[in-house]
Amino acid sequence: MSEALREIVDSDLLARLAGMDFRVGQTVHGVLNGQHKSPYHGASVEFAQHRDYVPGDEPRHIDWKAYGKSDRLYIKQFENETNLLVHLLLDTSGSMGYGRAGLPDKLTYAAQLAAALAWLLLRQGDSVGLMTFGERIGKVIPPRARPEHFQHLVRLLESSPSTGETNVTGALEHLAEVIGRRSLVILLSDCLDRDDRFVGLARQLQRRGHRVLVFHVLDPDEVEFPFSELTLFEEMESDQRALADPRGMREQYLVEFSAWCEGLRRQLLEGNVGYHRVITSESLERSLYGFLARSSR
Amino acid sequence: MSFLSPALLIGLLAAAIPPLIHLILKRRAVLVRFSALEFILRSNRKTARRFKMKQIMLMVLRSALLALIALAVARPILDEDDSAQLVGSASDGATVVVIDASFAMGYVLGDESLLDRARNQARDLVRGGAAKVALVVAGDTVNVPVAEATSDRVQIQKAIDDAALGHRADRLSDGVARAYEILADEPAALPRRVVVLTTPAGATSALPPPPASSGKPLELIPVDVSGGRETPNCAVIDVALRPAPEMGSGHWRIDAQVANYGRERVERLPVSVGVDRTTRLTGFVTLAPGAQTVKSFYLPVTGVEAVPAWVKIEGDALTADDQRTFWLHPAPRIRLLAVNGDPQPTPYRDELFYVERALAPSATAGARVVLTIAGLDVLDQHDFSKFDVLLLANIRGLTDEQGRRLSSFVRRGGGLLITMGDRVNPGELNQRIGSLLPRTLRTVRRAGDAAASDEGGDRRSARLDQIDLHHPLLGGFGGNRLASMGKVRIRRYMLLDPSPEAGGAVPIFLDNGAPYLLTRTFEQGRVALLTSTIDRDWGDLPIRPDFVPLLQRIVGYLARSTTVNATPVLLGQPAKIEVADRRIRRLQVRTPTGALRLSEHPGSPSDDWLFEETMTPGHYRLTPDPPLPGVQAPRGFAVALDPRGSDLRPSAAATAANPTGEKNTSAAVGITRRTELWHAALALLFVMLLGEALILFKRRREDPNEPPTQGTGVVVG
Repeated sequence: MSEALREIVDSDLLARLAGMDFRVGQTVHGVLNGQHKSPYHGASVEFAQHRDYVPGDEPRHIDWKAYGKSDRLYIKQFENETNLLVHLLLDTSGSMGYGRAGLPDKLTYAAQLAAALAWLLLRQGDSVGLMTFGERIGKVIPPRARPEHFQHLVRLLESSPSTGETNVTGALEHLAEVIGRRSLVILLSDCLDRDDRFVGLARQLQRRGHRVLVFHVLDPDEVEFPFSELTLFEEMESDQRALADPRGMREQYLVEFSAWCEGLRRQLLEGNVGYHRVITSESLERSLYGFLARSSR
Repeated sequence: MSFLSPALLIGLLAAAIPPLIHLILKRRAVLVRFSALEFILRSNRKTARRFKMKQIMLMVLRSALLALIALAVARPILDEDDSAQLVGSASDGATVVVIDASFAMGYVLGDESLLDRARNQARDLVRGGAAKVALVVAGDTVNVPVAEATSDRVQIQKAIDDAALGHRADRLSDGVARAYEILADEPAALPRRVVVLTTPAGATSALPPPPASSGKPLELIPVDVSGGRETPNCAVIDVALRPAPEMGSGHWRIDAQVANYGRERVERLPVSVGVDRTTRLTGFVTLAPGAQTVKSFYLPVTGVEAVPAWVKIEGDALTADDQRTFWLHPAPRIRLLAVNGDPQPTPYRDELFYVERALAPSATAGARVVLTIAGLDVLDQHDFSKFDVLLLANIRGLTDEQGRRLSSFVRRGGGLLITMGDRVNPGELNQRIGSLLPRTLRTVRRAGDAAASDEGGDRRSARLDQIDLHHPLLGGFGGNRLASMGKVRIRRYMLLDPSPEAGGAVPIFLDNGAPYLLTRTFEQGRVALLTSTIDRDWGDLPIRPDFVPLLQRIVGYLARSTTVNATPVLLGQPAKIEVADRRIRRLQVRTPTGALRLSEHPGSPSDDWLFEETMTPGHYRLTPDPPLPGVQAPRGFAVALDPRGSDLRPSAAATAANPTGEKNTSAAVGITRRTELWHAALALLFVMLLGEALILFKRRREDPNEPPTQGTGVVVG
């Protein structure tokens, strides 16, 4: 992984990403001025709206011109651009270690994606933190906005092996407990969690004002199931095995897998959770461009 | 169902190849660590059963394909019961069923004999149609229990049940001829047929063709009751006896001829020879398909009475021909009176020194010679009638009385051997017994005298030449056993007068053309003349290895006991009874079954005494009736089965005409209709190939990414 990750960090990709902006499609809380809309009104020049005065509002926010015209008291509100608080959640479970020959495994791909996103966000002045998880919570780097913070993130991404079972639910539960103001939560995982409560948790976070994005990282073998010979399949997260003739069950597998992917996407989107499926056979640049182009719309 | 080439059924083992491939491939499954195992398990649960079924179907189909190929190559045949058709169509006609009851029908096929099968098929024939049926049973005799075609099923069924196995093998043609006679009385306008239920050999034998008649022609339908199944059989088909002096005193050599009438090689078949009920010797023979071989046994006979003996092989499906009986006679007793014309005090110089040794009991295995030596001076004291053979060795001459007694002795059947020597006076012998001599004695001739001038004078002896092995005296001697005869040197011999009316025979000549051994028959007796000495005075014959058997042969020939006729009488043929004592006029014959029969002398001395009732194989014992004190019982005889009946195979001509064994109504018809099934097997093979192709096509369509060549596998997860 480390070699592949260094390739990302050292490549021209970061330079090409310099021209791109990461925009979150909703307001987020921030403490610094940034490119994202802030829920806090006040020290800004961009008018947002009027609202009725209620006792307790500061008299300095009253729009006296509007009072002169309508004889009613309105409070003048301004939009305040602020920096973004981003939590990157990287799945490092055993299943993320799968990769077709000649392609990076899912963890490497997801780490490269996380590094690129972190670089992009840090460049915009956003605070980026990182949490790795498998069966349990791994290492956690709190969000920071300093440029040198990127190196910390990269070191953690390099040193995260794939092991243990997938527990996205546990990771989101932990995040829900520690997360403070509204943030952007980016989950990079294959989502092969036997416990499907993580969808509900993601939707819950979204309802609480956070912006949740799921990068569903898949290997082309999982999508296409190209096996043909009699094969003894072994689970990557346990010792479970299954002898199968892929020719006989390929069609059923593809039906099952597609249905699962589609169900996951639909449930997340219904809860306004962002869903973006990436396949490791696609170039990272293309995946990122596709995501950023959609997020900017 | 049976197979024409059952050996090729070994190809059925190929049907195990697909399951083996499945097992091998199952063990060689590729191990892949995969992330989305949950979906594989879920999909497996839903598809495994269907896919497994499809795979098993494919595997079974492929196994069946290979098995079908093996089956088709083995050429399966289906035998269908066709009995009803044979009679049923002739509802208004007549059928004569001829059941072959020869001993070969005792062949056990499965759990029933061929006769049982014939009975069953005859019952089926009768039950199968409304035709009128008559019945002929060809066993020891041609029995016609239902002599007129009738619809009385009860009568016919009872007659079928009563059909009994015989011992003969030559009555089938007579039975068929009898069937034609029965049908001749039936209306010619209606169908008439003769159904012969017999062995494979009988069904393909040359049965009498139906006689020409007006109206509808008679139809002959031979039926192989075995249904075309193999009927391998081994049999003892002959036993030959001869004395075996080379094995010691009183030994006989028994040559048992064993035949294999099957298509399979027979390895180490036990062959035993026994006396009475005791097995004396056992050997083994290996027989190629259709081959015959001779197994030789040497057996001593110590007693003075003939003993019943037998040769048998290990029992097979046809036990009747597994044993062949014969009588083992003690060596014949010959009383020989030797007249010594030149006795010498030194034993080896005595005229009869070598005769005594050659005829000693230890040397005469096949013939027990009782030798009495007498001088010429006491010859008158001996009663010639108490001897079988007289030997006159180097005697000067005889008196007139002695000459007359000798002539009378020979005329009554005695044997006379005359040998030459220095003491012989040719003129006196010519005068006294000239009528007995084969030629007139002339003078003593020294060998080589005449030739000396032509050949350089270095030759002083003559050799034996022109040995007639066809002469009864030397018959069966064997050419290789006369090797030493060619080395005999004869220095002197008695020259004989050439005579245009010379009678008798000259079994042995000298190489100069002079007779060496002459024989002649004088009324009932035999005379032999040796033109040289019986000792070493004129030649070295006595020291040659062939001297002993030659002298024994001469004595046996003169005593008319050279050969022992051990050839058994074939069943049904008359047995010739040889009775030496003329007082015996009637005999009591005890058959192998224990039954007693009486046999009368034919009356005329020139007629053979024959016993006709030889219908049971085995030993027949003879005793004078009434018993005569002091009279030895005549030799018994043995009756054997006709070995031709042991060969149950279809005749070669029929096989050549119909190599596939398919139904041929003009030759042999099985009551079971034979249908070859290999065509059907190939058609099924083709259908199965289509089925396999269909399954593969469907699978390829379901999975286009499947490589074109895939092994067989079954999901077991």
